Amino acid sequence: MPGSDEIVVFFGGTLALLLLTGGMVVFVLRYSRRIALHQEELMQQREKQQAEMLEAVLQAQENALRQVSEELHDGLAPDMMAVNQQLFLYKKMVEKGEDTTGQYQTVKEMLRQATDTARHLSHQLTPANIERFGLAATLREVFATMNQTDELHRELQAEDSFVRLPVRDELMLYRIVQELLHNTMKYARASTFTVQLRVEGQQAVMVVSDNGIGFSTTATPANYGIGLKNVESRVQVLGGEWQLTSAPDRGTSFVFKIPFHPYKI
Amino acid sequence: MYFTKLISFLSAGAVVIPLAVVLFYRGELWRRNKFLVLLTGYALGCELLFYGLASCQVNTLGLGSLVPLLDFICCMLALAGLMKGPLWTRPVLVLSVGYFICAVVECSLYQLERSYPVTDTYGNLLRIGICLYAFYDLTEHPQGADLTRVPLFYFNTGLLVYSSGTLFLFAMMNQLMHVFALSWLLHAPLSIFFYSMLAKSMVCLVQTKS
Repeated sequence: MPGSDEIVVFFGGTLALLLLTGGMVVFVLRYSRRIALHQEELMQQREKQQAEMLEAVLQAQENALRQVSEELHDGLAPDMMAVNQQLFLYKKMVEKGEDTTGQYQTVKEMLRQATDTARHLSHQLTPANIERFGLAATLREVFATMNQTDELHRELQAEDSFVRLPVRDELMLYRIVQELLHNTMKYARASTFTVQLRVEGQQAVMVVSDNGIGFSTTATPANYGIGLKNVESRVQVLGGEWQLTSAPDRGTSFVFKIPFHPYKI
Repeated sequence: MYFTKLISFLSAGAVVIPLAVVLFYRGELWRRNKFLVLLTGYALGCELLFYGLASCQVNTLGLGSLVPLLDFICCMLALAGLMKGPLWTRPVLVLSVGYFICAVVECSLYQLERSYPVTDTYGNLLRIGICLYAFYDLTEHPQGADLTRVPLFYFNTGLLVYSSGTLFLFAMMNQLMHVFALSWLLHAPLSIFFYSMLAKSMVCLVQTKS
């Protein structure tokens, strides 16, 4: 048959090209289906993560309220009741015409303690100084006050380069310190709690560490975990990153790096 | 003779598939992508013209360079309307202009009533390349979780399969003149496939929420 070679080339080539095209279409179809599945999985993971973070924030709020309630119940309320009793005694002594100088001093001291408790509570709720004086000054003041109440030594090491951040960012970092300090006091059995503040390039760096019993990072304690989720959600809001280093009997250290946006007054 | 007529009838008659869809959804389709409607109208005009000329035993090779050029323009405009990313990138634009220049030069230099244009093969290769690029665009800018509901997928598949299937046919047309009917036997299913995919893409386009 004349030109049979051309016919073979024509049909063979066309068939090969059609097979190749068909393969390509099937590949695109399967590839895009795989991408769609992957995106769906990512979305589910993100939703789950957001739900966990929301739960952590709610849990943190609940803890804070419970703490305030405990402080009111165990601290301020007994103080005020004691003041009430002392005032009753004071009244009796005045009625009997006895010397009330000592009793007056006792009531005065008890009222000072109650005021301190109220101030401590107020600091825990909202640190009023943070807006005026910044994170470093607030932490310094809070640590100085708290160091008088127990044996844990809280220390702040702020470099001069650490300048003011937006109030929202400073408040978030303050809450993170609060959360970690709470964890240290409750679980770490530490004698020192240190916060370091500095600036590295375009990032504000905060290192929070203690010399407590530490824990294995592969098996974070459940209660610690809730606090860490709360910390993580705050760091995410700040658009930063964080790193945890801990091991049994070797203390715990957190490094937070937050994008640096200097505060302009 | 009867066999040849049947093939050409099937090949040309397949245009009624997208035409039916256009007539059914005309307003909505025009609003969503007018180039698909224009492409169907153009295809109908071409098929009628070629069928009429072939029935009257008129040599249609003279239209060989002009029709693929218009085909190319219509298909690319419809494709650009369906893609999310830009179609007219610099390489596509340069190659398309090159194709136009080659086609015009070939038209003016050769006696097209005697031989089939070579530039048609170049146009076909260019279409295959652009279809692959459109698939790449589809994976880069997904238009939905389910690809079987994306109009671009059907239109692009139809165009790619048709262009690939007819590549050797148009490239070897001058060598296959003695087996003309046999070689065009392959064109009929490809043509039906392309028109079916065009129709399906239009249905998908209408059913997709705007």
